[in-house]
Amino acid sequence: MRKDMGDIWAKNSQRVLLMLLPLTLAVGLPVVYFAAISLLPVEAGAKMPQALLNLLPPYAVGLDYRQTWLVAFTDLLCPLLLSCVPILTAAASASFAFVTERERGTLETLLLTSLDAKSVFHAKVTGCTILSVLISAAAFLMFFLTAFIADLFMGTPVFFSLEWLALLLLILPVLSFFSVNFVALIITRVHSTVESLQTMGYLILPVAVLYLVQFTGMFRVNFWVLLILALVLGTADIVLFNMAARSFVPEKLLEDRVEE
Amino acid sequence: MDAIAAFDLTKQYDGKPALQGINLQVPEGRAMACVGKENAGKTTLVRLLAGLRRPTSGECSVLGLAPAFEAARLHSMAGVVLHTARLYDTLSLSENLRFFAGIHGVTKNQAVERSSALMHRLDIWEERDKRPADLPTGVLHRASLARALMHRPRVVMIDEQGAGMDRETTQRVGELVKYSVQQEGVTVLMCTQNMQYVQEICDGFALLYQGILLARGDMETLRMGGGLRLKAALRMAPGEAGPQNFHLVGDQWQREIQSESEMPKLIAQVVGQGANLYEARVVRPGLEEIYQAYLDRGKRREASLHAETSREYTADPRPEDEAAGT
Repeated sequence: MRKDMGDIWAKNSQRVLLMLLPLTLAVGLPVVYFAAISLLPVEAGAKMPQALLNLLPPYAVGLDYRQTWLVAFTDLLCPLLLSCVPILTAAASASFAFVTERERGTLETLLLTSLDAKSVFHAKVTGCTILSVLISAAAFLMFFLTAFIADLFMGTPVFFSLEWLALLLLILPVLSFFSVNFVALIITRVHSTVESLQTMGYLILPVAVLYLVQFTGMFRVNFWVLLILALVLGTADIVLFNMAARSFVPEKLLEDRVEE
Repeated sequence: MDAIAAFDLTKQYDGKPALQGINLQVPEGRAMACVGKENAGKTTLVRLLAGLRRPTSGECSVLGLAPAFEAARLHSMAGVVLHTARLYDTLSLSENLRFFAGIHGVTKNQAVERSSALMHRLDIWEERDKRPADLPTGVLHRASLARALMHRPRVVMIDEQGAGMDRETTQRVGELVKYSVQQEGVTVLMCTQNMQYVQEICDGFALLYQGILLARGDMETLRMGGGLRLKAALRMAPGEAGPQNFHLVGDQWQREIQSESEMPKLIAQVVGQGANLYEARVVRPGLEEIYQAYLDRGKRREASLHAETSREYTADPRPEDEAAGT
């Protein structure tokens, strides 16, 4: 497990990808947005659309135009950006740990040791999930600092709420685990690391839809929605983990190996 | 006791047979070579015996264990070298060896000692700090063998890629395999195209062709089964005519003989005729020649069967042909 985490971190390209993605999502995009809001020209009497205002937390009442947009961005869109971090890092690290190892022939060498396939699978899933959770937690911390500074600068109340706690403690770990298992499950169906990395899109799409549907005013992603989502994802994690573990057998993993 | 055994072992990929009804036994402490050209089924055989594939039918065992079901236990007692199983590019050669030894439960000190001994024997000690990506194929092949031997396995199965291994590698691998068999009592199964090389290392051979076992046994049994005879080779004084029934091959006069017991009489006869005999020896056919003889025999048999079937067909026309008067 330590070897997997070290291996993923040792390669420059992989390290850059695993650092750059969270940095962009947790710091880069919010900074750009915060800067844009602070420079936004405001006309007298300008007001955010009522439908959007209805989605904002109670502390947003009475804030000025710029402050309201800051709260809207932090509260409605930033959870989506931060949810993408565990998905992207988990899918990337799992692609490197499973697919790249298979491509390079080291997975076969591992399967020739006294570790059984199940132990190899458990070690890889655990390593990738831990790595993804650690990076996600670091990304959250960086985001928190960025948003905190923005809040201070704009005179907005600190954004942290019960929803953020649920996102941090429940959603990020189950999303990480889900993404790792998803990549582990498709390892026998993809032919290259690039192809495996492309699956990130399938994982991000439902999360993006969930957060973007909020803007229709149909519902709001509150604590209870997040709790139910965590339970559903947790159950899906167990199912996916068992399915991936069952398909992690040498016969399937080495299907395309050249034989003489 | 047989360390490796296969009974009616068959493997098919999408209905296409890669191995068909292979029967094979390698006694403990012996070295056996499975030889054959491309697509003979060598890699498939090693993969089945290593538990990386499941047989379509038949069964196999290594040290009494079923590879497909007890792979982890088997790997703790067996080392497998496959040309597709590679080392980590992020680790140096010695780190790779120690890493895989660690997985097998070898202590750090033992791993350092063992890896050092193996790298010296295989003459890759100088490369120990280099990463696999910076090493030539020959060194990597030797390193793979070292990796497979790190945990002192009782059985080693080696699948060699193609026929193109450099001389240094074949020599070092051959020496280490011989040493492992003779000094450590390791059982070895080598699958290769390089017949000349395994002829000097192994004492038993299996000839594979397109997934079929043509024959198995020691060199003498295979030679006789292939219908190949020994030859008496005589080197006479330059310019001197050869004895009767001998023909010139290179600088030697050769003739087929039934057995080597004919040699003393032959030599006495030639010397008795006053010829200047410088050297006399028995020439045995090599494994490659024997393999070719089996292939030729198979082709001849196929041709005769084909001819027989054609004769039967023309001699015994089908009823509808008769009815049609054809």
